[in-house]
Amino acid sequence: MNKVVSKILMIFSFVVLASAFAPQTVDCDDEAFLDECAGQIAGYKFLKANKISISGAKSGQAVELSSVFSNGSTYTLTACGGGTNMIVTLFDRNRKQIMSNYNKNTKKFYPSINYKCTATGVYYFKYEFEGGGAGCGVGIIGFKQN
Amino acid sequence: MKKLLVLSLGVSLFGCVSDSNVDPLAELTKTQMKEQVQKAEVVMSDEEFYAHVQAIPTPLQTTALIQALGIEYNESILKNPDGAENVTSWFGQAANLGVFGADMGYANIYGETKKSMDYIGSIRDLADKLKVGQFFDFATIKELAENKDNLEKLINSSQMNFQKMNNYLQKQDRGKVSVAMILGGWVEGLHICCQISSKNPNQQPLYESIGQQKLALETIGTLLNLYGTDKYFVEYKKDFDKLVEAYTNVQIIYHEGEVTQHEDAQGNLVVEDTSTSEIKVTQADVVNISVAVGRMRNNLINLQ
Repeated sequence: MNKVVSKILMIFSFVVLASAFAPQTVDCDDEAFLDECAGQIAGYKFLKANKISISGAKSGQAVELSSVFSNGSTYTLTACGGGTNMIVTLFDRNRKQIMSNYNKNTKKFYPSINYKCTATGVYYFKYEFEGGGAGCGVGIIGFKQN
Repeated sequence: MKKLLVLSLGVSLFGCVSDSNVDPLAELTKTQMKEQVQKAEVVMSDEEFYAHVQAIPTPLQTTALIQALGIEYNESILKNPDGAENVTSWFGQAANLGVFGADMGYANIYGETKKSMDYIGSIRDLADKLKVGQFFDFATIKELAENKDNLEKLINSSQMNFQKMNNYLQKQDRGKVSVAMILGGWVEGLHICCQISSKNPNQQPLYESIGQQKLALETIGTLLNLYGTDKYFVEYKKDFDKLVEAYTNVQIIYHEGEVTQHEDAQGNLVVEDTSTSEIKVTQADVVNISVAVGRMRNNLINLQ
């Protein structure tokens, strides 16, 4: 009986210890993560922080959010993924693609993308994760007057 | 065997302590929970709600434009920061938190950090009453306000704190508090722009800034309808409908262009868009909008 208890405890200890020392994933819900990502918009004024979370069940999907951009302002968009590369694509009011922080042809990620707005309107941001997987992150939008 | 047991329990306990999954509703009073915790009456997923809230323009864009036009700072159009302690209704607290946030943003943009600190005091009072004060980092804001070289950091930290309060409210199913706060800020931003515009009638960009708020009306209307049986939202909606009416003649016309992109020498992506927009708004429209938003604002700032 003692041997059985001992074995159970050993297995339990192993599982607990393994999880305690496993690599930590970033908690995108933690407000400190937001502060960290906001550092990427230096030179711009903070406009919005879009919190993005795509669960395993919804992987392959994207999150779409929007904001009003004004003619005469330049906007910067950053995509700060918690462990996985996050892709942000900007669309205009007609959902015509303007730019993305990821170039599919060259597989290059840009840390931030800047857009000089010439037409006031509603702009859409599509957030997704590299490879269409699950993930979490924050998309910060900053602006400055031209 | 004993050592193993102690180690197992120790690690388990350590795991429990480091878990930050604290009940976010623990500090709310029974009255606050009854009044403020409410799922929307119209069916809308949390994701859709978040998308609507995030789409509302922030007043900082308007106030930054006013400053960029070289127009002098005008304190007389702002709400007096005194008296926050007398606001007792949750709607009044949330809406005025938004109003003070917009006024603080306007003061910050102009480097009026002394005035900004007066607003911080009122924001602290209201945020604490709503139990979201823990997300407003008053110590850091105060430190940043003491040095004008930190202006950009001050502006950004203040905005971020409001975003954090909003995120928290939504997590607690207190979306209607979040909506009241955002709308308070939006109304104050529009009020500031209308007032400055009336004193600077030749500044066309201000007309356009007022006109472009038409793009937010549908989203705001949707958010107000979510809480259609709440007594505060019912009253607010009546004023809002008059504002929508004042926007009837405002038009936004687009001239479609082309988007081209290339990488510059530093490897940054450069995009050129030749699309343009034209916002048609007359002086009469601005007067009507100004009257309607002034009424809304008065009703908000006089709430107890």
